[in-house]
Amino acid sequence: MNSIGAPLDRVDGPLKVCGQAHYTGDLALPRMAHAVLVTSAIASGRIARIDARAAERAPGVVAVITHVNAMRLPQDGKAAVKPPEGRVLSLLQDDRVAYANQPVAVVVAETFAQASGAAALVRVTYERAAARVDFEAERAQAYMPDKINGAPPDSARGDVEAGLASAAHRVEAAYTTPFQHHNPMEPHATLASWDGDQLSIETRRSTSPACAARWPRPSASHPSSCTCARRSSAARSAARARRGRTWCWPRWRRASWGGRCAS
Amino acid sequence: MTPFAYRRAASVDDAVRLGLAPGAYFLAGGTNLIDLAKGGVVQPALLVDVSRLPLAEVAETPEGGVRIGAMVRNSDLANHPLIRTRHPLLSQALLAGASPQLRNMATVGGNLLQRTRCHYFYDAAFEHCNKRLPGSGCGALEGINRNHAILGTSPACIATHPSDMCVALAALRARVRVHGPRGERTIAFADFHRLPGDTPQRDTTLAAGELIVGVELPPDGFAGHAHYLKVRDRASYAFALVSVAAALDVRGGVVRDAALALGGVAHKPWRRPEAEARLVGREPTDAAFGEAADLLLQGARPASQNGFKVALARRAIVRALQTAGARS
Amino acid sequence: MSNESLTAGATRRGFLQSAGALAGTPLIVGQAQAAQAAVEAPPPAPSAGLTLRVNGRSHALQVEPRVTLLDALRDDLGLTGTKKGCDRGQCGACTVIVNGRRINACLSLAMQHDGDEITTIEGIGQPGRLHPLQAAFIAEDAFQCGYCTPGQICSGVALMEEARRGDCSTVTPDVRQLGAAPLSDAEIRERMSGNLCRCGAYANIARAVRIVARQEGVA
Repeated sequence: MNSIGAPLDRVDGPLKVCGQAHYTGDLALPRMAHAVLVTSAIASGRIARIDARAAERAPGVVAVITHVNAMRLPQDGKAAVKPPEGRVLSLLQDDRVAYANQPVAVVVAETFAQASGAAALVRVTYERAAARVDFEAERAQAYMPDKINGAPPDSARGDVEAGLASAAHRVEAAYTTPFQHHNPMEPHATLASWDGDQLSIETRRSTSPACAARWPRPSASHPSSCTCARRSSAARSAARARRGRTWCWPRWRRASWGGRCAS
Repeated sequence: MTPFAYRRAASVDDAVRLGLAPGAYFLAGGTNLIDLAKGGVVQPALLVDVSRLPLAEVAETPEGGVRIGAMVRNSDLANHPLIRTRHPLLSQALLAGASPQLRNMATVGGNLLQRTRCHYFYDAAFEHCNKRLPGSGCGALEGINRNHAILGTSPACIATHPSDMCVALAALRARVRVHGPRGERTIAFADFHRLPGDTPQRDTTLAAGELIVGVELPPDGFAGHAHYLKVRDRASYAFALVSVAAALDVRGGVVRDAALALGGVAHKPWRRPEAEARLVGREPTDAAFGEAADLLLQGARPASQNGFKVALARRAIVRALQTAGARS
Repeated sequence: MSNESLTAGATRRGFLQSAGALAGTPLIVGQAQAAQAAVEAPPPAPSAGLTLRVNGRSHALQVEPRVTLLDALRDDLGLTGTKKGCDRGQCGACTVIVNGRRINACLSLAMQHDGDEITTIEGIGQPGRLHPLQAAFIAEDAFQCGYCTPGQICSGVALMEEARRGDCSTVTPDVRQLGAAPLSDAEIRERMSGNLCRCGAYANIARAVRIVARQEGVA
């Protein structure tokens, strides 16, 4: 490649510095609705009651989706998706709250202001359980899964102990991940549109083909086909900002359900 | 945000009248109010836009002080030649706060009234906040309180006032002019913000419907020796862990007057005239500065995670006074 | 539908029929259980008319009072160059220039700006007619994902004008000295500190701003 070492201007440079590069959140379709999440106020427990009446009556609201009326996922969220590392897709499928700010409702309305305003009207009553949030204290419960991303979890090469013992210099350090960390500036966003049985999804994501492969096979409540488009402008730089843009299928589900409700 | 009505006030009296409606809030820059509304911490029924009222002047008073309109933007105030040359302590404090964009939007009145950034207060989904829900308890007391108050606290609330501008105004002995249903009055700065006591839901001594129309500074701005020191986790765009507004009037090598106030440590800017008096009539030495610091920090009662603020504040006070004293 | 709900069906409006489309952004909304807000939805605040002058053109709008300037620009006027990063005034991605001053459009209501002169990134320059700062961002590789870039550029453009006016900052050694001193690197970084960049292009952003500031005689 004779471009290595040569100074090159980014081909998407003019679009980006002029604000003309489109990110998912910039897209608009005719008669597009907006969805806002209501998230859990507790870290662990269950939803005792959701009262969505005031939210449903708020101006511009099309639907309020909760675990009471959300579509059922095939096989309780395990079908054909093979969630990584045993995670079960638990999206609005039951009354369990597993983590703080877990989505518990989706409010769909004609404008963003109406959706976010109505979201504040959803009343959730919880039964709180003790939350286990101390990583060190829970270490004793850690387990090794059979596989991670299809490969054995641990790997070894060479003889580390012998190497350390005979090394002229040794560096030992412990690195921890802080519980608050950076996220890319662009918020997560998904645009889902239905055309009969066809679902199109636009999203900020760097591994779209892999995502499409994980979409469930056709059934009564799922589309016969699905196209996944990724925003080329954002994706081109995905190499630099990949974190936060991989697994996103819960968001797609919510968007597609919202679109279904709206239609 | 939940829906609200919006009215632009035609005059100060019009604003006061509208401000008496239930659920009415005055809107100037919006940098705190809109943020609180988005978070569901406040749910206004009516916003009374006062930003275009003719209260945006900075002018010298006959006595040589300065009269500042409540709608003056933070950036305009910080950069005003009168403030930069005569009251540099106020300019420095303003410039230490927020970001350029926020300073362009925020007004003097709004800065006075901004609410604490205690995360328990700010999280509308959290149920134990006596400031937001009187009688519900205080999550910070036994919770995450690294950035909370060490002075003037009560079992009901350990929140801090987040403003930098207010620390300088406290040190400079400003006065706040307000206009309300019963006319105009002036409040000494020390009496404007409250300590939490049993009623942390009340931040200030304003009565219902009162609108801040201006702030007045006395003639002495300590222009010769003034320094605002802000200690924070980042170099910019972060609230203070501890801040110090320090200024000295030194003549003939002796302190004639001193101004000293702390930010980031209490429910209001923390100032004690006795601490300032401890410096008067003495040479500006580190020993004198240390005594003033000890006096100002008397009674400090840290919470479980902010004990470091006591030592930090003492060093910051001495450092700020040293820097102020060294200015020429 | 939900535990307590009026209707069994999902649709209560004919607004969205076939080919329904939905955009979602996971903004977090919680509600304290002890909050005393009324159970009933408040009556809708009527939309009101206002005029926004954006990039030299007047636009008549009808918006609810709670619509921010940011959402009015993006959703009502289709000017999506200005970005929503945090929506709470903490990141600067929504920076626009109003009456010559840079502000965060997310913390301002559209209604507050009736009659104001607003410049967005679309008004700074276009491909083929770039503002010097836009050209410098490309030449100096001052962006990666590009999401913060419009806000960075609006901020940088406004910064030049502030410097010309002689505005000081928290790193200015002595605010009592009036007049415009040339901007140091520390001054440029401080004056750009209201714009976050998670890709970490700060060094090149500062360089691009410095280059143009020198061309404009303020650094």
